[in-house]
Amino acid sequence: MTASELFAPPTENWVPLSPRYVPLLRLGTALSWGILATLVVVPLVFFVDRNVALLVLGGFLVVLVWRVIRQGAIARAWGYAERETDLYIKAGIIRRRLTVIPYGRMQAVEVTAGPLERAFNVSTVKLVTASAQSDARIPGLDPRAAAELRDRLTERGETQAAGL
Amino acid sequence: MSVHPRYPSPEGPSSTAQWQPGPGPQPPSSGTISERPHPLSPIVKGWIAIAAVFFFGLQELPIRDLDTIGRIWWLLAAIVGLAFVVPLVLGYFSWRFTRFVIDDEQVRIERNFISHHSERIAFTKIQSVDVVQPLVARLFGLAALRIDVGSQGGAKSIEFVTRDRAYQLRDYLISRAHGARITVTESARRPVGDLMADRSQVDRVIVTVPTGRLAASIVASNGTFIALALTTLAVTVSTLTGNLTALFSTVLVLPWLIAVGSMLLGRIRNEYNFTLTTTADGGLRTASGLTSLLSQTVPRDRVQAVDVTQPLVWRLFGWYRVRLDVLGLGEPTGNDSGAPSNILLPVGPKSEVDAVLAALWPTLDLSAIAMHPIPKRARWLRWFDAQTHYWGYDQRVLVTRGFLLNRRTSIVPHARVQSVRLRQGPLQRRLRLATVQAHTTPGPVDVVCRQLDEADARHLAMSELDRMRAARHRPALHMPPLPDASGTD
Repeated sequence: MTASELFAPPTENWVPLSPRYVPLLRLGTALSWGILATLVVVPLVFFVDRNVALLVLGGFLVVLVWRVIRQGAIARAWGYAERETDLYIKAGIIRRRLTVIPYGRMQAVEVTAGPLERAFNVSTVKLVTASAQSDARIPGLDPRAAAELRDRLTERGETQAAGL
Repeated sequence: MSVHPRYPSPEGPSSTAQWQPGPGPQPPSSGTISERPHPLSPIVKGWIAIAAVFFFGLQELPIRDLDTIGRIWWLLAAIVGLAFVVPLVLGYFSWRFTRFVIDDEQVRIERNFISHHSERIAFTKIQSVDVVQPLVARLFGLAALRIDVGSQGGAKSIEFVTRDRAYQLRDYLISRAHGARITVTESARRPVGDLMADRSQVDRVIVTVPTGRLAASIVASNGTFIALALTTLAVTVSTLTGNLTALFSTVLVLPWLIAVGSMLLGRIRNEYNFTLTTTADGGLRTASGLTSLLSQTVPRDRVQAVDVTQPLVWRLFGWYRVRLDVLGLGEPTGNDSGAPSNILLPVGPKSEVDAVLAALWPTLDLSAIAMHPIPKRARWLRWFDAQTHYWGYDQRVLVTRGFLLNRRTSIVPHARVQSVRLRQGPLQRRLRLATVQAHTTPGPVDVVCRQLDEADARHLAMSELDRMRAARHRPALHMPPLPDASGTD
């Protein structure tokens, strides 16, 4: 059984995220690694040695570039599928995970978009169940797709609602 | 259901200063209760403030001889005034403007002092009802009623009423939470047995935990042994080497020792005199406590998941501990006395575990469930305890078992699983293993089937969804169902 078979949805194909999510992920990764690099390298320049600092900076740059390149694959690893009674969400390349939430278990569906997300015109759909472990969210959706998804999920959640 | 921490009650009657009957039938029906908490409540609630002001105030006084007292009498008077009058006056007014109303549909708690609050609790949302008696309240024969609705904002409480009134109201609310149509007066007419032990004649005692066993089990916990081992190690090393620096490392162990010690004391205080009973209407009631008494009643169909744990040392004695998830109880909040507890059995032998599980889910037979081991190759990832991990399911529950230092069996009814996750890390991928987790409501119980064969994991996760769906349409595990129990959930 290959990894893609292990995490395949039972019948349909995965719905991918918006292509605009990739640059957002790249920017976020570049920013966080850049800040980390600055925090480490600047003290090195003052307190240790300029050459050591340059070496460390080089290391950070390699990691940063590699992480930024990888974000495309990471975004492609996300996907969701709506079936009759459950929502399937898959994510991750190194650590793969497939989460399945029955519509009847959803207590609320939230659509959020932070300032960066708005700049790239994407939204996140978050599903709330009675379990904190569910942690079910789909980031990087087209805002219109996100709103439609929310409406569909809410409607199915209402018709299939199960008591706790 | 909504998870708003507060109900601001836009339509509530609380906007008027005078209290009026709610939107129910205007002349309150015979079943409606509308009363204030007990008049002594402010004293019980405010005693800490009173004691603190009094104590610290007196300590700061520069009293050297009687002459000084004569000169600073006004200061003394001010402190006494501050200590007693202010909390009491505030307490009196907040009492004066607090009222709880129980009618045919809901409980309403009105607090109209300074800011107006009206909290409504529909009977169908009640997850559990506790009677809490902090030490001071016990001295006055009072008790608080804590109603948990599973919302994020925590439980709603009615503080304080007399102890027997608290038990009466609790019994009534639990009956209503089960969907029984019963009036308060009918409920109050039911036979009351031993009030001190909170046990009516119809209740059946499942287990009581003897104090000796509780103390022994706490001493014999993994925490004590690790603490002992660490201290012994530090002392031995320092004596052998003749070097005192190693002795200093005991200082590092100290915080750990203190933490373990306070945890153990907290457990004695909270689990002392533990009794589990089943009530007439099918609830589970735990009562325990040394200084504060806590009596929790959970309807059986509100139990989300259960686990049975056994620390390494307890194996010598054959003891187990049973914990449960109930919506709203969440994670155990630690050592606070009177805090909600997730314990169904603090310590007991196998026979008592079976009795407890039988009281909770009479039709469940754990030994009939085929348990599957995990593949041998999982030893690469769990070299120390791969042989202990098992998983299995039947039509109604999912069961996992495992671990070495703290053996654990987790049980969740399919009908209570919220969602399912299948996951695989890089090492697992090379070994063709995967992990399946059934998500439960917040609490101590985690149901994780670790390191299954890929194909088994996939099949377990996908078929679990079908079992969850099927189970939601079947009668609950605590069969036979009550005649009218379906009305709630």
